Amino acid sequence: MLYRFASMTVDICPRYRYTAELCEGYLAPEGAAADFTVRVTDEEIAREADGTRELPPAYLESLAIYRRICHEALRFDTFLFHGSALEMDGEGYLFTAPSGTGKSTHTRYWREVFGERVRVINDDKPLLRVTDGGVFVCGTPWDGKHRLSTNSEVPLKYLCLLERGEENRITPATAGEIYPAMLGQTYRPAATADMGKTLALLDRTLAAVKLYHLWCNLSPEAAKVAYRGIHEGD
Amino acid sequence: MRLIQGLMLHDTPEGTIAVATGEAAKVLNGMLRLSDTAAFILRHMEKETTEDEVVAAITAEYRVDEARAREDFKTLVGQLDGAGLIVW
Repeated sequence: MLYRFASMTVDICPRYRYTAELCEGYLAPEGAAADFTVRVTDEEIAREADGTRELPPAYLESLAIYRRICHEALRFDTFLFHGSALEMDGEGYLFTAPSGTGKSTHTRYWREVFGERVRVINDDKPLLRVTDGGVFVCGTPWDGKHRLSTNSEVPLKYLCLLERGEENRITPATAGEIYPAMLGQTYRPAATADMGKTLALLDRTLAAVKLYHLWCNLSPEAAKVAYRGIHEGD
Repeated sequence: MRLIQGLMLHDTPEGTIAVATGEAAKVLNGMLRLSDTAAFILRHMEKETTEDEVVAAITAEYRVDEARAREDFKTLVGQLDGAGLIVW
């Protein structure tokens, strides 16, 4: 079956129904030709097990499939970045932080505060497509435990490194200041050549979007502070 | 001696970093920020080399005498070796 993610048409051949159901909102248009095919092996599925808990093979297969897609995506100047991405008024915002910091909670506040102006593009693992005309943040169905994503892509304008803080505060950041954190949230392939390509795409992304460091507490006020800080002086 | 396989050097707009891939990722999680001099030394250690060769390269590139270059080299290599990033 053909699916379309981040402008790539992918022929996925899963053995379990789970991945087909997961991807059903991302079917490729009729007549599309596959850019590449993904069929994962038993070994690839087994490698996805984290060893700490029993996970169904169907779920592990879906992870292995996404890993392969992300590997192939590098050829299309596209890479996986861990974060919660939303679109508001046609612009893409991406909030990133280590797991457990509150990325999804923060974007939920944006939905609460700004209502229907906000659309979640991907709540966990969006793809970033890097072009000469800018970076696009792309929805995929691998979208976190709350299953929030939209089958669309929008120009990524703002990238915020999120940290918990007593008070809500946002400041512009340089790529150098936040580079270690950005690298930590980037999918890092094992092969050196692929890693080189990934770093080049990350560098282009950090050069193309506005960067911020956002400290926030667990209150919807954080969304207002972030929005005001980002659009100050517009 | 040389750097461990999979440790790659990458120039960013704000300086050179070392990032681990493959085998190197087992001993280094994340990245190292490098000074200009450290980056220069590590570039020479991406392939098999010797202390004397690197020290000669340092004195040719920077205004520094051999004793100081050797001291700086040994300090850096000691730190890298302690982190498991050197193959002898």
